[in-house]
Amino acid sequence: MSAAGASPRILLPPEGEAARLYELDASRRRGGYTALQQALALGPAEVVARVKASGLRGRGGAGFPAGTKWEFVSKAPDPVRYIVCNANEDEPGTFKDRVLMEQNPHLVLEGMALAGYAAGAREGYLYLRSEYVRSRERLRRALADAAAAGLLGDRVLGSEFSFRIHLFIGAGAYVCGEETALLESLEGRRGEPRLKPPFPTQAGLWNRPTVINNVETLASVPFIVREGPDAYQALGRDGQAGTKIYCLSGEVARPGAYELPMGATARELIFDHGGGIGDGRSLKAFAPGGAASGFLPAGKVDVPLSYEALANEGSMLGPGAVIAVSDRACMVDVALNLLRFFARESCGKCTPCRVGTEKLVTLVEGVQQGRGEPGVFSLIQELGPQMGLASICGLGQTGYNPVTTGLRWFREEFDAHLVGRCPAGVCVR
Amino acid sequence: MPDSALARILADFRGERAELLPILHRVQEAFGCISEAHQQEVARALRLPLYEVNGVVSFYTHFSKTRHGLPLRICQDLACHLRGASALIRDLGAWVRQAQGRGAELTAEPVSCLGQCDRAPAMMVGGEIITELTPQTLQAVVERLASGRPASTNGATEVGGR
Ligand SMILES: Cc1cc2nc3c(=O)[nH]c(=O)nc-3n(C[C@H](O)[C@H](O)[C@H](O)COP(=O)(O)O)c2cc1C
Ligand code: SF4
Ligand code: FES
Repeated sequence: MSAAGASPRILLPPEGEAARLYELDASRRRGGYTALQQALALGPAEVVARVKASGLRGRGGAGFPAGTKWEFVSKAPDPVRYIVCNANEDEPGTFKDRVLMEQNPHLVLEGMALAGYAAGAREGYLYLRSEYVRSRERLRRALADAAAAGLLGDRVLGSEFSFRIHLFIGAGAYVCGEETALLESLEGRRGEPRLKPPFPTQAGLWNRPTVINNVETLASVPFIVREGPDAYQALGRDGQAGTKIYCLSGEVARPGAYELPMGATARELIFDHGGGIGDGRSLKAFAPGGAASGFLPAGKVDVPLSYEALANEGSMLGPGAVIAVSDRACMVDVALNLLRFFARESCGKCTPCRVGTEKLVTLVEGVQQGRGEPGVFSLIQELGPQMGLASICGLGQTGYNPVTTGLRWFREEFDAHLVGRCPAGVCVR
Repeated sequence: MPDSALARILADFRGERAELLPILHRVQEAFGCISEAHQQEVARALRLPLYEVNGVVSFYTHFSKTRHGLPLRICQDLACHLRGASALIRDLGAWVRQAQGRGAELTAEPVSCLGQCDRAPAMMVGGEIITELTPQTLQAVVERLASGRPASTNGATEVGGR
């Protein structure tokens, strides 16, 4: 189907195949839960060792090495530990976890069970955003089927290991995807981030050592345990490990979730897989890693979508969500749209973020409407990073990127608005 | 005077703090809102001060303290914005006001990303996701809801991903 040809997939069902992997039988025919079976023979320390050696890094945004996190918790003095799967997925442009949970829910559950076994936890929580109705149905059914087959619950596969997974439904808040806010929410509180340290690996859910991982991170583990760290490493490009489900949205012909080697480029994603920009338009800019990553100009499409390469460009991989923007769009308008998201979703716990996100919206609204004062751009460039330094969670630490990167790469377009002109003809006055 | 429907909901739980969100989901679903009286009842059952329950209800966007018709949640974020959501949101506002004028209990509610960015523009009504909206399909959704029919004829969202 894809112009770039098939690349190995370990998370999503094989391309073009009607594999109903969300059904337990189909999942098991394709090796579902065999990694769990293997792990029970290998022992927890070996599972941790394989995950560490695989180079798997967190797919939720921060890119922390998964094996290191698991090791911390496995060595914690407290015997009561928890696994939390983060399926809050709420950042504009991000939908890969939904696709994965809908198409391959057993892989996610197996990953959670492996985390539980490796870290010595008996209980796991899957925190799912409430809008994912189909994911919820598929997960419920998968949980019931796996429990009935002895793959979850008491004495997994007849072993000494018991593991129970609870499905917890969120209630509409982007910030609840932040790991400590998520824990607050699970405990029945407002989803406001905690101050770190202590980190969740030390004091997480109900103050117990807790592994929190993204859906895609956990789903990557069965392959690693089964095929080994080297096989996993070999799936990535240029020293990057594994595959990545890249989300492609915005003004492209074929938006979707594409599982590619980690380190594929935006060009491959947007043009080879996504069919390019429709309507005879051309690519102007793209957000490489979701709303918080800000923008890169079209000239950067050959930069690998990997942790390091994007950091070198002053951007980030985030959850791996590429939003393509065509020459029809106005960068001021596009930046403002994202700034409004962050202002709306700021939890208000810390002043720099609460006030800063609102202030940026007001300033850029002024620019859009042709009321920008001459010094407005230097003010924005000062305010953003200040907000970043003083905020306690990632929302405030990165939420200004849409406008500062817009200014960095598309300054003329911003300047034009100061004299009442929108080159793209989008902004109305 | 305890609400008996609420008492039946509370009977399904053990009365622990961690059950607050699950309980509130059930209350919201059953009554279309979580009123002051509901909050008092829930606070009593969980032995929490009222302000704690109130604080949680006001924090999460899916909980509302008053009932104001069926919310038509339409995404206003970037992937949808780039595919025409702003104009759709203006249209939706106008169509919903017309429907309200005819007595329909609907509200237009622009919301954050629904995680359907690959099928933008997207909206959600009740438990139903409607994607790849056009002015025509959106207007048809309002019409159907205003006359008491389900939001769409084609059911929930397709499984995405390629
Ligand atoms: C505002 C905010 C929202 C976040 N939302 C999510 C999310 O929806 N899903 C997710 O996995 N991580 C999210 N994260 C990152 C988590 O805090 C955390 O790093 C992650 O769940 C750890 O899992 P990983 O190491 O497997 O990526 C968010 C972070 C911030 C600051
Ligand atoms: S940075 Fe923003 S979202 Fe994060 S805790 Fe502070 S106010 Fe809340
Ligand atoms: S931006 Fe609209 S569904 Fe994600």
